[in-house]
Amino acid sequence: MSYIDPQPKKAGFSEFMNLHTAIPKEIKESFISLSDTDFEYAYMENPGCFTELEGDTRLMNLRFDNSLASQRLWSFLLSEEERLHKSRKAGKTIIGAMKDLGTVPIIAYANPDNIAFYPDGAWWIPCVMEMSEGLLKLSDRAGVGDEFCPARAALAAFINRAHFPIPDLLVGAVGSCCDDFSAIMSRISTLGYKTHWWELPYRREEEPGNGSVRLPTGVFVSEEMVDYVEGQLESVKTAIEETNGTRISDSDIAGSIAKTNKLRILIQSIRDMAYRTNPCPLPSLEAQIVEMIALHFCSDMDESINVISHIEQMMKKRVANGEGILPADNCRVVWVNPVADLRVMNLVEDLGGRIAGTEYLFRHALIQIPTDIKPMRALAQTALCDPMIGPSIYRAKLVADEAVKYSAEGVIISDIPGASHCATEGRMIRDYVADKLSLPVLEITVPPLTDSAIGQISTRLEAFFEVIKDRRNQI
Amino acid sequence: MKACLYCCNTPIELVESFGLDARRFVSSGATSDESRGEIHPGVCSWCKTIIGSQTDDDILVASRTCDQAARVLDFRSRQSGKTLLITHMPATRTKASYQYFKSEILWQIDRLSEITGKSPNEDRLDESIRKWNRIRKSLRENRGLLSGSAFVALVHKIMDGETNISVNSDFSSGKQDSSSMKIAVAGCPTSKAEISFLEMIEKNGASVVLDATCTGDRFSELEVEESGDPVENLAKAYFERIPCIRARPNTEFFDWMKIKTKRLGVEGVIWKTLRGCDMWTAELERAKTVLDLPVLGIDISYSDVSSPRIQTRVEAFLESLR
Repeated sequence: MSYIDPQPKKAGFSEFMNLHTAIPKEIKESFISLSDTDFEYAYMENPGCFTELEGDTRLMNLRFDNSLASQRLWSFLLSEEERLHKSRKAGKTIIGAMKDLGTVPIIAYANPDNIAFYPDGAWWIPCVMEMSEGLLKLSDRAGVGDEFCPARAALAAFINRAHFPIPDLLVGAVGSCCDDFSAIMSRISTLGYKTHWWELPYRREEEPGNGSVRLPTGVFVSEEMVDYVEGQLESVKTAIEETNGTRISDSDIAGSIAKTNKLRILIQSIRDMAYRTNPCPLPSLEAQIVEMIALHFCSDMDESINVISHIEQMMKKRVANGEGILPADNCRVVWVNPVADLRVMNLVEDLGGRIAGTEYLFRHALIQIPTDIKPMRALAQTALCDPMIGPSIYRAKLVADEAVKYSAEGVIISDIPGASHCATEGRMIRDYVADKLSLPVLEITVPPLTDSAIGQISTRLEAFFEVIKDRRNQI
Repeated sequence: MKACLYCCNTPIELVESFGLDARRFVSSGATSDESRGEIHPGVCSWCKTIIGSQTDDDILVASRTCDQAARVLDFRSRQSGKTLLITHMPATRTKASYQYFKSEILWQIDRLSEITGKSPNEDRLDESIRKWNRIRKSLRENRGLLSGSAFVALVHKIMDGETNISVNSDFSSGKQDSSSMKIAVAGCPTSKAEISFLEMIEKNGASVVLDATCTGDRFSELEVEESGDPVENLAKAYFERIPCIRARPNTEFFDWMKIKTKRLGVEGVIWKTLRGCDMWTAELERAKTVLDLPVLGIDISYSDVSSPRIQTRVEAFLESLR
């Protein structure tokens, strides 16, 4: 049972389907999800199934990494809804974590009878289904219109109940979260779903000393703040325990943290290769998905580690062979914010760019969780590294650090339409990066479907890459 | 030294007790003040005027309530070099959140002490608490004497720092017409320019008997205990006041609205949201189901506060109530 990847390149949808057909059946059947239940299943479906049966028609407009590992990654991602439904049949308790992006699922997965996911992820449904699902229209009718970020699709998904299974418990992080999702969560909760709220306070940095606590990212905050968040996360744990009926011990949490850290080490290794190595061994689209897996393990913690490990192995092979998928002289840029339309990640590479660092709003989900302190305290400290809960300058520094780390030649800020943080953050990131690194910055807005805006986005990206190339010539 | 406070959840008593010349931010509502193109146009007008208005304050003081405002203040502070003090006002209403809010107040005391070089002074704080209790009590007790527009104009005046109010002069103009239709207004903070919006409602035969914005009756419905530990009393009063719409859950706000509208005999509610304000906009549909009253949703920006579109919608709404 063997399969040799073709020469690395990006494949169109038809070619991607053909590649899938060429993969031996035994290999496809060896990729199993929910292996701890009676409902285990092989998730490697032909990509055509997702377009024809699930309506994920945007896939037909994307170009994919042509490796087996990439096929596996995409199938794992696209079969998540099915996995959630099967989990319910298998008797698992479903936790819908909202907004904290990376912390609550670790608590939930500490009990293998739980499964956790972010309904926030519904923001991609209008893109993937090319608006055929009508979620944004439904959200409009519910009074949450296009002045909100596309995450409003989550509200509509809770109204029409046509996508993911309704969680047994919703856990919403509020306080210092964005206005958009705070408002959306409030509306979701009033639909009658059991919701537990917990507070993420404003992260105000302190000077070292005087009892301040050093967070994993190196910033210092007050001990009261860490105590408070630890208490908040204890309340989340209790709510999950009460929903599932089973206690979660510190050692259960420690076990979940260990797996999470393992996954995050793999993701860091992938980031380093994808954003630094020349030629680039992984397209930015797949790299973005890899980072996203860190949030809730795509609803299967153990298999997510296998999937990401597969990607890492494939990349190591490419790097060792000096193989890549992009021309070596593509312009290196840090990408800020996830894109609502996945197609843009293809576009940026097609027009001469490559990603050299990212800041997708959830850096705290990529860092190692401390293992030398109490597990719940470690989670509190990690949650407080959330780039969205403090001053914008913190994020600007993260962007600048990425630019330095991966030798970026520019920064692209991809604004999310309607998002409260985007209104001022872009300017502050631009000023900081220009001041500290003298790098050019481009700010674009990416709607859930860029088809009508693709001309102006392309022109702006092309012009930006021209600027970068001119700067190369001047040096 | 001058301090400007940007959220009604920030205790002005505390800031004043350090000898600072403190006022609360009131948006002029002048479109010429709207951010001067420095930030994204999707930001609400109130936040835009934070950027655009030229003030001589030395310190900006705020609570972390809505994300937009916190980020706009962060931006303004960095642009102007002015000190920004942000304390976290929890959205959750638990005991732990109260304790945290109290620790935030203590942090603010330390910072104010550093900035002013003055030690916290319990006598001055007591004095300030008594002063603001008097002002708010006077507003509450005489609320019925004033029309909605006159009441909000008076609140603006007080927020602006003119705190020497007199019942004889300040409550003598803009009488409430007790025979007219009773209306409540809820939503985003009211700017000075929006007084004309309230007057327009009144000209159309209605009285704004309840203003549930941050710059209306919720401003005055706060009383700080005057005996005991003043810091504890301040924290308790501000934490337990009628919660902001961003509280999670925010049932307390709607419960308060229901009680007040019933008690005041309100016949309809105008839900006034600034374009770009997610917190109030998202709750409009909920208000329509929860309040058990006719609700008119109006999205407004300062540039169209007196537009025919707004006027026609208000007129039609009031007509439908007759």
